[in-house]
Amino acid sequence: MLTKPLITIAKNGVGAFVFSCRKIEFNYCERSGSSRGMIEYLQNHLIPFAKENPQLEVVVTPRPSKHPLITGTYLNRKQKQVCVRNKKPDAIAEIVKLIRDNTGVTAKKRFKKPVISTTESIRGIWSPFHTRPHSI
Amino acid sequence: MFSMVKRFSIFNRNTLSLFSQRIYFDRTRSLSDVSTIYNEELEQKEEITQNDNQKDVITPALYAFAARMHLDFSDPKILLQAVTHKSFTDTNLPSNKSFKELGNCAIQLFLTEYFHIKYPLLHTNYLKDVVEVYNGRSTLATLGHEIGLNYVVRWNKSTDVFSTPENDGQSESTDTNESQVAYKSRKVTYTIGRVVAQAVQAIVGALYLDKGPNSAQTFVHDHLLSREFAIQKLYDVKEPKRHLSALMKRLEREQPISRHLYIPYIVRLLHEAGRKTKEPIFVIGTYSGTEKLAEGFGSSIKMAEHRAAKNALLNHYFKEIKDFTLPSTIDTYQKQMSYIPTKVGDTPAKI
Repeated sequence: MLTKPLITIAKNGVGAFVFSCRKIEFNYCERSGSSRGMIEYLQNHLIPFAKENPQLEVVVTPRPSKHPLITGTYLNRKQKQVCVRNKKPDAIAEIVKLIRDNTGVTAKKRFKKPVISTTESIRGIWSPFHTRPHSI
Repeated sequence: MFSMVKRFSIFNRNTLSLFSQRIYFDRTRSLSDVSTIYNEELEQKEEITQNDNQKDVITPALYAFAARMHLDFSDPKILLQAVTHKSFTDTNLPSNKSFKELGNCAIQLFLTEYFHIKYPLLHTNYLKDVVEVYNGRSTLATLGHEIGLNYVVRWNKSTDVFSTPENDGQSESTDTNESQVAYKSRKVTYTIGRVVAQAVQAIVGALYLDKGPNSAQTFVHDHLLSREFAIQKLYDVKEPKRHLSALMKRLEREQPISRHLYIPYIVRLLHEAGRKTKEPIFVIGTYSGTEKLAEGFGSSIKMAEHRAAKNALLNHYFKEIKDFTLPSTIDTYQKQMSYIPTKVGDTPAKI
């Protein structure tokens, strides 16, 4: 029988919570002015952040002659990129926290389908045969 | 993609020679393109480590994986071994095969125990099927991909099992028992799904050995059993009314309707609409005396009876126990003394 094998559906958080963000990559340019805030962030704020979050893989790569970029990769194979040109280190720290706390679900999907559930409804789908009879 | 192996097995031995090995290899290659982007990075990293003459280096991805899954082994090399497939030969560590065997048995123990106690009246065929769904290759591969294990496993796509000179000039024998395939060179190919599924089992096995069965059980309950599966999907009987009659007889719930005539259950038409039209609907309930066992709908009365009987069987055999203690969690004297076993379930009725 060539049927699709039955699988179980994940419910993240019911048993144990698996952190969604698996890697954050920082790109900066040594010479450009837009990377100044980024370089200061990398020198002062990054290592404590990486130590606090051992579940993240942190990668720092120079990218010459380009604006500084932060890319978050998630377990659903999606990526979120934020360009942090001309930003101060504090603002960059907030953006990094935003990327870390995000799941990879796209913004469109979160607005189009805000509720993710395996059950159709809590109280059951309406049936004409199971309503109370109408009485005047 | 996981039915690839089954698709291969329907070709008989005579047609096997018509298909070159390369086609099979290419097909598996394209199906395993799930993580080709990262596999290239991994190959680059492997080249660097080879240049440095360091073989078993724990990558940052593996550290991150261990922290994400809260795996705290006594030696980090244990996790590296658990994640190393047997096809990966460029290592000083043994492969994860022994971990995988132990982990497979441990997972089956924890799953079977949980489902047997939770559904005491279930037929053992369905019990085995449920355990197979939760511990199957597809589920574990999906789980592995969802936790990021496919970026961390060490494996090779193909290994040469044995390479003997090909016999081109041999006459084709009609006797299919004499397999010509065994004498040709054979390449064993692996897919990322299979490797990842084995790695999950190996991690459970490594936890069992390194940290004890309680730790392995917590892992299984947290990551495998927390996943959802509608167990009623598995139920498939051809003649539910017959089974229901046998069940009612076994439970001694046959109702007398005359002095010598007993019937196992009564069927009543509860609601109907659209009889004699294109789309009728009937709702029928199965009753044992005044107690309703279940109801079922259908576009014909017979179909509604079929569904009603099937739902009655489901309600009985898939009855859930809510409060129970798993015997494998008993590890102290106190727990042994306060252990209240659940009632042993009846066997299913035979037709």
